[in-house]
Amino acid sequence: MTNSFIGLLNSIFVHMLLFAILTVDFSIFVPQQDRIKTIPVEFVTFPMDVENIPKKTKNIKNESLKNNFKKKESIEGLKAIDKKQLDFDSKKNLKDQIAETKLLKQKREVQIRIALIQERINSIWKKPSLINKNIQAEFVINLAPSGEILSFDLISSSGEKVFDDSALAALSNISFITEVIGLERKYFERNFRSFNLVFKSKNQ
Amino acid sequence: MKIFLIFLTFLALSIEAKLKIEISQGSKDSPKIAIVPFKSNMKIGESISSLIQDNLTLFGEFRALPKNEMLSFPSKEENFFYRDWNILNVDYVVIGNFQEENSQFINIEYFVFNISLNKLILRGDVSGKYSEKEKISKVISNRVYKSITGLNGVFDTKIAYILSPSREEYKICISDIDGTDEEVLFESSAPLMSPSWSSDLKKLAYVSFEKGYPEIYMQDLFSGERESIKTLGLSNSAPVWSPDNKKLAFVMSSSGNPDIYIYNLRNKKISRHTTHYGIDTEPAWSPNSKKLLFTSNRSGSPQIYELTVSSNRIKRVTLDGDYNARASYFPDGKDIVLVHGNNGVFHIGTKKLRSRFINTISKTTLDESPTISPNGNIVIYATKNNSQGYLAGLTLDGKSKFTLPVKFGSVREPAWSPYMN
Repeated sequence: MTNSFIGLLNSIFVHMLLFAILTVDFSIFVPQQDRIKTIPVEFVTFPMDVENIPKKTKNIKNESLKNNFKKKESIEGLKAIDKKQLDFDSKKNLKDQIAETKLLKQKREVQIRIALIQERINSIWKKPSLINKNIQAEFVINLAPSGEILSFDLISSSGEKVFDDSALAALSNISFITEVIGLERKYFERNFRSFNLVFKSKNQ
Repeated sequence: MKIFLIFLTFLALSIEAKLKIEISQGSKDSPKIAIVPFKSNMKIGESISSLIQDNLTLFGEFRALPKNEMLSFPSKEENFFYRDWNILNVDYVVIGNFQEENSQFINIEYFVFNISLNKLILRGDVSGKYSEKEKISKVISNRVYKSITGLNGVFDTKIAYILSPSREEYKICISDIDGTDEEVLFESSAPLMSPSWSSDLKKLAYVSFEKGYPEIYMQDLFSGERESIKTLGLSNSAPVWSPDNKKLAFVMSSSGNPDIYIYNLRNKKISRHTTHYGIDTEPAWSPNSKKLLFTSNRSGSPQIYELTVSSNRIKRVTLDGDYNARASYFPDGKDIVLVHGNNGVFHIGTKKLRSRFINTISKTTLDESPTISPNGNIVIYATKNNSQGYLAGLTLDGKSKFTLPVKFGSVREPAWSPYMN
């Protein structure tokens, strides 16, 4: 009876031991691999996200992993990060500069086209001599990318029929606004697909 | 409500974001007009269209298409084709025909087309005596001009001026605005000055030195009768008829110092309106007859001032330049034309009453006595070439400059008549 009871206890202890060994091994092994895999990926993707690094280490519970990470944060490592950071800063600046230059170029392109359109319409508009009247007529112009005038409509009359007619006559004399040809499509769409022309009696 | 406001804001932003291109200069070229010879069985057809062309091109406001460049000669609306004129880059075409014509009477039907708009903009008819073809052509010219520019035509207006063939010969002359039909109103061996039209076009006021001192006369244009203004002072000058035809502003030096006075034409009374010890001269009425511009040296140099007649309140108008004189109002009463001088060079300038800036519009350097057309679009002024005075003019848009036909003698002090109603 006593032997059989000891045997039962032994059997329980052995089973518990086996269970404990298996359970501990499993819980250590799986997350270790996961975390080792994820950390380097994060370093590659956001190499300069230095602020995020300590936050992420806080989540690391395992001491061995903490040590591992600390080793990577050696002085040389930090220097490398700084260098990368500088490189990224300069790349970022460069990107900004390129974007800025592009924007400037676009603005300049659009301004040149506007000046050319103004010059062209001024050259054909026979402005009436309503010298002391300060009036204006506004038209909306719809263009095709080829520069063809699809339509134009008087949206705000000057109140003087002669003045409105003079502007209408000027627009009737042109079929194409060729000045927009060659402009990058998105700039055309943004600026010239539909724009307003304001004919003013006085230069203010 | 909030959503609606947000929507409105976005709408406003999207409207604001649309590209706006401003056009304000306009072409340097004047509009091109074709006056097709009017169809007639007598030679008068061509002469009427030729007279209309002369009128419309007189101030350089239009360029005429020569007859030999025309592709067709329509006389009625039904045989008018826009393409014939589009090819020639013509802006406007005038055609006409005689409904009735004999040696006594003529009746003309005329049409004006806007070629760019493919539109008939005026159809009209006019009749009159065969002998009055100049007058008829001026009536048609005025109507054509109004249909194109929106302004009243001035082709039937007149101009008065002082003609001086020699140093002892002075004439007050009146002619059509194109320089034709010159009539001498009065001549004297003593200087004559400052002609001014009454607004009813029946009289002309001027200054004569025939008695050895300057005296103001008002002369009836039909009877030739002259009447002088009896004043206490011995030196009277610069008479200007008010637009309401009730008063005459003038300058009198009762105590040796010139001041602005007003002569009431109804009760013949004189009132004094400036009292400064400086020289006040060259009055000019505002279109509503309530204010006067005048030149005064009260600040040390000649400058323009504005006087409110009812209160005698005076306001300085010009601040720039060492010489500003001979100002007069534009028909709208908001702008003025004046002689603007700096370092001995004198130009004609314009100025907004409310702005400081003076815009010089003439290029010659000894310009004086500007007079504005009744429609406010043209200025004629006296200028000099080798001491010989002549009349020059310009349109206020700066597109055109012209000189009026040379007279036998020096021409000074032009005065443009009001509209001939």
